[in-house]
Amino acid sequence: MSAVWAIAANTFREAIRDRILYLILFFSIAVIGSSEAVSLLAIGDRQRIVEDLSLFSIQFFGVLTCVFLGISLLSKEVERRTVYNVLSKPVSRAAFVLGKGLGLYLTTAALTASMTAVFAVFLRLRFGEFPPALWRALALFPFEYLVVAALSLLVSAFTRPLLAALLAGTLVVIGHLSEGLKLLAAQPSVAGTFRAKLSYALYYALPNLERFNLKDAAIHRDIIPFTYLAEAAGYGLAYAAAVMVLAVVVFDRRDLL
Amino acid sequence: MSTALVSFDHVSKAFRTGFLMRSVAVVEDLCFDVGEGTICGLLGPNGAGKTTSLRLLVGLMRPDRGALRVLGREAGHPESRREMGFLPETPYFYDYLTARELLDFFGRLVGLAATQRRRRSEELLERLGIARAGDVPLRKYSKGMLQRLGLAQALLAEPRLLVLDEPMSGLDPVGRRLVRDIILAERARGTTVLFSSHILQDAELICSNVVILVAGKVRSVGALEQLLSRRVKHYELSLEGLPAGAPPEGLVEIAREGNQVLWRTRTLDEAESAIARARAAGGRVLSMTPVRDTLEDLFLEEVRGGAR
Repeated sequence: MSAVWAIAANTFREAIRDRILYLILFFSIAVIGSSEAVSLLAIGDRQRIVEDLSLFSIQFFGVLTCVFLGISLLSKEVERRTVYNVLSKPVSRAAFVLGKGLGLYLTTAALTASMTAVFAVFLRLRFGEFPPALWRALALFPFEYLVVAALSLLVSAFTRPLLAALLAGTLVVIGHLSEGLKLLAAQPSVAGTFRAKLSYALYYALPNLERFNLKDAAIHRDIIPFTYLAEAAGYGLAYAAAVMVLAVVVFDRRDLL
Repeated sequence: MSTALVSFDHVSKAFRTGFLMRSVAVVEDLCFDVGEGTICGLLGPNGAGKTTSLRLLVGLMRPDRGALRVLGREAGHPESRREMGFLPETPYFYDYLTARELLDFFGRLVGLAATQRRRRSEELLERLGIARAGDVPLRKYSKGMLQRLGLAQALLAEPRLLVLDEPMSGLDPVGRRLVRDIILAERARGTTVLFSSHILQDAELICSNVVILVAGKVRSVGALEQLLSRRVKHYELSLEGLPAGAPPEGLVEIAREGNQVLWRTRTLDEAESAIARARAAGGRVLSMTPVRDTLEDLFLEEVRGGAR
């Protein structure tokens, strides 16, 4: 376990010494900061527009960080041959993959914490409150990051960054649309057909990232039951764990040339 | 007979290349042991399979066939690397770290406590001559400095088995000497060393055993002394007090100075016969030296596929 932590800490250190992370942070804060200017141009409750844009910014830049850093996390180690020195120590490949994943997650968590802090302070200063409903939306973002980080790590375990970016990006987009597969399978016209079965199979195999998207509900102050949060969190943990196991298996079978 | 710390038992490995994923054998049917306390040189021309053999040993690749055991365990098991130090060919490190940070990180991976990590790091940075650059980011290191750091990380956990892939590569003569001295010092400490090289002079100076690989196959294996002692090229006789004249039949005169001559014979029988005749003619034998093959001779012969 100490090897996992050491690798995670090193991955975190690499990320925070990379200027790109600060660029992402800058952009996300810029979006939060400029959201009020945008709200002036829109019709509606200015606070809600600020909240909507800010939550979107936190979610989007968090996911972007997971994908951007995750897709090259393993392939870069192999290409740059830095992995040789790590895996020549008494460290299993599973510990290496888990350490890299944990490091990526810690990086995203730190970034999200910074963005959330800026958002909370901005909202309090400008509107004098930070509605508790927003915390419920924010609470599920880390579980989306967990799934996206695991998927990015999985594609990074077997392919190069460019293709990995394409695959991970596609999975994220599909992940936000996969509810459609369930709706399609439930159509009376296809009930019981192969199409319906395939749609269900794809729905359960692909990530359902919309489960973690409570932005609209939070902005409209809808009541979000705690059971929903617990179920979504459980789904995120289970899905990410399954993908991580797959990433370990794929990386473990690779010859490191 | 020393215990084998490394044992290649009919190990083969092929890579798939090209669009049709054609299988190309990189190493075939490797069979050799590395005994405890030896310095074993894995020698061969470029593309012979030296690096692949070492990567198989470290567990970076898996053999397609055969069994490979390291320190009593199957190669690839993390515990097989517990008492192993490895220097890859042209080592690459996280260039955003300093040497001290890197050694601290690797120290954590091998399970050293914080005080041990600090002590060993300082010792090794000093020993490898890079202590002054210990806080400089590695992206500013030269190739030679990285090679020294690579050796430092391999030695960090005071390993029982040191595996070095081309350790002299990229080093100036001072660095090569330093690496040679370190390998010898490690052997004196009881460490077993397996290293690959194509710099034969260095290998001949420090190896007790060699394995010569050619085109992925073992061509020669054994104690260097035995491999070379079997291969006396000729004998040189130094004599004095002989009357001037041509040497006896079958001998070649290499040099003559004053009343001293240097003759060369091909066989021991010829040498003994020449000594008897020289003594009968009133001469004195100053020395008889069997001139053996060098490692380079042996290596070139194996590479060219010549029969012994």
